[in-house]
Amino acid sequence: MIEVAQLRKEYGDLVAVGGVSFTAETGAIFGLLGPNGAGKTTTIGCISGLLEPTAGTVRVRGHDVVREGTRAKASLGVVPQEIALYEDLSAGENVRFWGQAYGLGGSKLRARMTDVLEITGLLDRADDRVDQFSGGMKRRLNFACGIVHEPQVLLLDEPTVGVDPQSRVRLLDLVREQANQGVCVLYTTHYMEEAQSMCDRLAIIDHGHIIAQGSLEELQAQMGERDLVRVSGSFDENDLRRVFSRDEDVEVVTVDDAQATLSVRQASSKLPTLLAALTRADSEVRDITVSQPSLESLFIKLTGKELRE
Amino acid sequence: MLRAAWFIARSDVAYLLRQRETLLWTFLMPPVFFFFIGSVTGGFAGGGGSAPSITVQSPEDAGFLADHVVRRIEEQGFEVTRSSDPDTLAAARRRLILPAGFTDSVAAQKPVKIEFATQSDAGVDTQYDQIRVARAVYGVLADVIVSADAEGTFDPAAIERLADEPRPLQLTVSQAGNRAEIPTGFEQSVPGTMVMFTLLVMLTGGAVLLVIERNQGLLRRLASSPLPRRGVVLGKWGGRLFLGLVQIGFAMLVGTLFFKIRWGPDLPMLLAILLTWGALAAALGILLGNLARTEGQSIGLGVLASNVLAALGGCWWPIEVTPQWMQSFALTLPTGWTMDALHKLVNFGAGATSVVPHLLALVVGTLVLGWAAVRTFRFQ
Ligand SMILES: Nc1ncnc2c1ncn2[C@@H]1O[C@H](COP(=O)(O)OP(=O)(O)O)[C@@H](O)[C@H]1O
Ligand SMILES: [Mg+2]
Repeated sequence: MIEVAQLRKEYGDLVAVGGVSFTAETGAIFGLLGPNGAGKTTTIGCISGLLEPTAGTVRVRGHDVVREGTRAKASLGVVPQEIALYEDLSAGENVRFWGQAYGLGGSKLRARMTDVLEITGLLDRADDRVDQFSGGMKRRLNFACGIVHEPQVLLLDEPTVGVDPQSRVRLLDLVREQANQGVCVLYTTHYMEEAQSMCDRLAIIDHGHIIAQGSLEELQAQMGERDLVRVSGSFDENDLRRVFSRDEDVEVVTVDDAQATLSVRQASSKLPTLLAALTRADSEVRDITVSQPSLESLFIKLTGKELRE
Repeated sequence: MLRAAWFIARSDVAYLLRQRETLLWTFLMPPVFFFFIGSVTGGFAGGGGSAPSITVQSPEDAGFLADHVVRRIEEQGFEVTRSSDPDTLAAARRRLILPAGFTDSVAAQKPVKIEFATQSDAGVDTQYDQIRVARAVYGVLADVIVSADAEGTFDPAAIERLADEPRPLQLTVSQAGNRAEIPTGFEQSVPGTMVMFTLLVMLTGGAVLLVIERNQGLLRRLASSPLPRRGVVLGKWGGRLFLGLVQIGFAMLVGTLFFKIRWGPDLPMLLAILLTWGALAAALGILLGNLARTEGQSIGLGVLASNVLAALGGCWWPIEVTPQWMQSFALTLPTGWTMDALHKLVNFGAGATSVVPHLLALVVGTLVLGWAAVRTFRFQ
């Protein structure tokens, strides 16, 4: 279990994380979803004991990360965002190094090395140097090094960035498997679909703040069963807001000269009315898309911007 | 903490010993440099293994006494070449010029002037040369007096006999105190190269590994592990120190076996000096690894720093042949402390206590640099 309370991390004037609180439970995947620069890696850094928080507390299985660092760290496994491997050592040597760093040795270490190389599909490449590996293989090895010591709490920082679809599926299965075995998994990503398909609970983070948090159902409920309608063309903001101001079913989320985003109840049946209203507002419509309630639409609704810029 | 340090040190040593660059600069290049620098600097002060050379100019009418002078000089351990070519004479490291009509002038009891000149006019070595040449000339003078008959004339045969006879009174002149011969050739190049290359490997390989580890996020990952950070830093230093000692040990072995280096009577002190030198170089390597941002930076800075420190500290040539201000300046550098201590212990037989200041300077230097390395150590 990871308990994060009022966590804050500043770099000079820059507030990287500004008072984040959440709890990640044992045997489940807790997702931290947010765009680049949101503060995900900084949060993970504070939990793993790499960074000292400016304020707030982090507990890992009851141990305060700052005051009982060694005990807290002993049960942690970390898979960092970057591929932190010795490129000119073999896959097996990398796994052995990290196993030893976490205190494994002897036959136990050998058995675990075989296990993790096996489940990540790298056993037959165990003796090959890492710099000959593909991006996906390196990601899998990065993961293997993080779980070799069988941590009870696993921190995964964007573990699927830049991998081929096959490796991605394999990695996601492995993460799910860890949670099923009772590991508490914290999973950060900027991929909406991953968060949606992987996480039991999640928090959406932006600019160092958590803007929504809960199970997937709870978060989708926050969308209020509304679809997201994105219209491109040319708009006059004031006219647009005036036209929809008395319509209960339509909410203007964002609008600028070329793009408008609306949150609409039952959008598919309401499209003709919508287009009529847009024409009344002197808008020119070139393209219109309707999307079902999703984390993406929630994020746009909450922040007024797309997750992937 | 010690467990962590041990683990990190072991891993680093294993890693570094597998790098081609480390092997090249630790085991292969030093002996090559022993040989080349040793061969090139062999004539620096004329000492070392071969006899010092002296060029004697004796005009054709110098007579048989000139031959006798040459013989006496050879007895003093010089290798004598005769020449009357002005260029050869000008280029000679030491030259002795006998005047025209030398023998006749002596026979006529006229004052003669023998000129002795050396290229470098400073240093103990030159004084030693002068002493020996003077001794040879006085020897000739004594022979002349002894072999002269009542009328004051002497003949070549009498002189010849004298030269072969054991002398009734043998004056053995040796310098008071220890033999102070400037190390040249291999005696200079083996310790000098050893000291320099230890630094080079620490400042390049040792620093680069740290930069790679930081840029790859490996240090970040280590900082998230339960290994105590101080243990990690200690291990990084210890691993490099061990590697430095391996390098020093190997250099001493090769120096002893193939270059006939004798390490002097104060081996424990010598080893203590080299140990602290390794410790200091290792700390400097960590410090450079902390300051450099890229691999290129650390290699560039490392090569530059180790060459400058080596040259100014007297690793390339015996510092004793350089001007006094350079010798003084060398003693402000750790390379200078080490080289000076090695020369004192190995070549000048100055005794262990004479290098206690050097040892203290190296220890303090290690502590200061080690402190700086710990303070500036960045895990990311
Ligand atoms: N060491 C640092 N020094 C200064 N600013 C930093 C540092 N690390 C991260 N930041 C800033 O903190 C913010 C959050 O970064 P990060 O946690 O890496 O975001 P994410 O992982 O969600 O992409 C960014 O604005 C980033 O530029
Ligand atoms: Mg990040």
